[in-house]
Amino acid sequence: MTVETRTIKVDMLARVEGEGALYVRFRGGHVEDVRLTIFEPPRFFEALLRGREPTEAPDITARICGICPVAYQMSAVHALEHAAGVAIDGQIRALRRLLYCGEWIESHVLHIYMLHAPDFLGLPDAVELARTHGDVVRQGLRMKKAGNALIECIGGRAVHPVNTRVGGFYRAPSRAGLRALVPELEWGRDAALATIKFVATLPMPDIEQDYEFVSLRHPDEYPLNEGRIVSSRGIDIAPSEWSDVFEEFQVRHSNALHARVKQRGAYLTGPLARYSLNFDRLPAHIQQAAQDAGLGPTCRNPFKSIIVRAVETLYAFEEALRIIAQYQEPAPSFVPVPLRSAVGHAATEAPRGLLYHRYAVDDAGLLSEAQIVPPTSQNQGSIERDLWTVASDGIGLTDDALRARCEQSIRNHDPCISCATHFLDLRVERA
Amino acid sequence: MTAPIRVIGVGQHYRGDDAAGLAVAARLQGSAGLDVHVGVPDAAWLLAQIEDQPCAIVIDCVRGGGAPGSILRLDAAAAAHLRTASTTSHGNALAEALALGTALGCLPTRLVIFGIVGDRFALGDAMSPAVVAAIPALVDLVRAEALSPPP
Repeated sequence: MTVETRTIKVDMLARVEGEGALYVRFRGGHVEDVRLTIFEPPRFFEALLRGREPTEAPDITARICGICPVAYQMSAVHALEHAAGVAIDGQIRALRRLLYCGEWIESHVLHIYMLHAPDFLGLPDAVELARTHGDVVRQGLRMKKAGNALIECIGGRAVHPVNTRVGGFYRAPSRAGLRALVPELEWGRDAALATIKFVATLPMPDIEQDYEFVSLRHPDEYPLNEGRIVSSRGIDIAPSEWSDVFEEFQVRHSNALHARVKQRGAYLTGPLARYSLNFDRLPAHIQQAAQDAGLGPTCRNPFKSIIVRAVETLYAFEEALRIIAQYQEPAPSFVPVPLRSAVGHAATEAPRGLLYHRYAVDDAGLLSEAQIVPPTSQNQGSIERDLWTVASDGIGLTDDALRARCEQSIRNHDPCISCATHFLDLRVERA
Repeated sequence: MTAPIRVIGVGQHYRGDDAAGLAVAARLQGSAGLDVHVGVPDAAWLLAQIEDQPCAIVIDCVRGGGAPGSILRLDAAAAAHLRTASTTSHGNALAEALALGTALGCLPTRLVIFGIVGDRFALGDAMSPAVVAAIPALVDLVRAEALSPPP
């Protein structure tokens, strides 16, 4: 008797940040193997930071990604300030939160409109979406522009901003400069609410995954820059305890390190985790908007991440407006951060999830060690589990339909392969 | 008074000849009558720079189309046939921006793309001598294009 095999491959995954591939193999009607392969070579950022001045870390690590450079800058400055025992508060703290809002807006909107929405409508890409839903794409591009303008005003430029430094900012943006952004941010707030309503109408596969969610949690705020690392299965630690609970490990098929909870396994960071662990930190009217869009306080359907991103986009617009309304130019724009013989840790919430940095500074005041754990690296195990579920459920689909569904399920997590080391391309084998 | 002409240099500093568009734009900074911007390849950003402008000039490096250092002048219709040859994980900004802008009907009335044919695109490469040598001529061409009356 022969056992039927079937292989589905995607050799170059589109609409993700970076380069990678997907391979699914069926044997005898069951999924036998799933591999998310990141084949882009390692980028050695951790190694090239060694021997550098700590003050260089924010700008060097920002180059890891053109979509989420602020996340790298924020995790870097917080980790180095932690090493020095310096806590930043007041307007500098608020300004950092505002900068992060800009990044959430531009990154989430890019993903919602340009990368993810076409999947739900059976369209090949954003260009086709522009042909069929021109007003929708126009709205998305304008929202993204508002996020970019915020980053540019605070960071000096929209991509790889240059104004962030350990201890604060090289120069504080003017109150007038930020207030000039208010009308467009107010428009964006309304557009974000419309976005939630739009994505709520998209057809959603009915899948629930038993993730261990991991995110920051702050006593008062929806988390961006600060908080303890918590999980849906009881983890509650300071970022400095990251390596006590989590570990990175290598798999043969990926150039990006995976991560897991020690003695437990895969976990998920990102919008689903943040939202599910911090629903109570959202303002009541945003909770209501989420519920009106069909979300409960917890969301375990990875396809609904597009709705959660839209909810977080609304939060980011509102938070930006709140901070700008209270903004006073900090003087000075930074505080001194003396660094000698110290180790510092920080985790912040990149658009795609938890971004952990650890730095050691030697006696000469230079970086002797750097560890950077991006969200996509941490999510690889959960993405492969999603693929296993989606492939098993979709075994009756044609190869093309299954390939499309698998690609969509990868895009649910907005993977940044460039950050993780780089990745994406899909192969399905039916054996 | 005539509004300045929007000029956008696109490319990456660390990818050899892909920096050519940025280098040309840098030389054009401060030129009278020009509003010069530079950026990394990002379709949404690029479209935001050119959308609804009466006139825009984009400078980018291209692969093929002549010997390294050759200069190509394309209008929007010709540029619509550009194919993706991305050296970045984030896609081909120019081709995607033009396709999006065409679909949305927001491209400039007059859009000119200058391409400089590159040779080296690997990470860490310097620009090739032929491309470096062609940059002054391309700077002059962009200035002349900006000064020329609309057809």
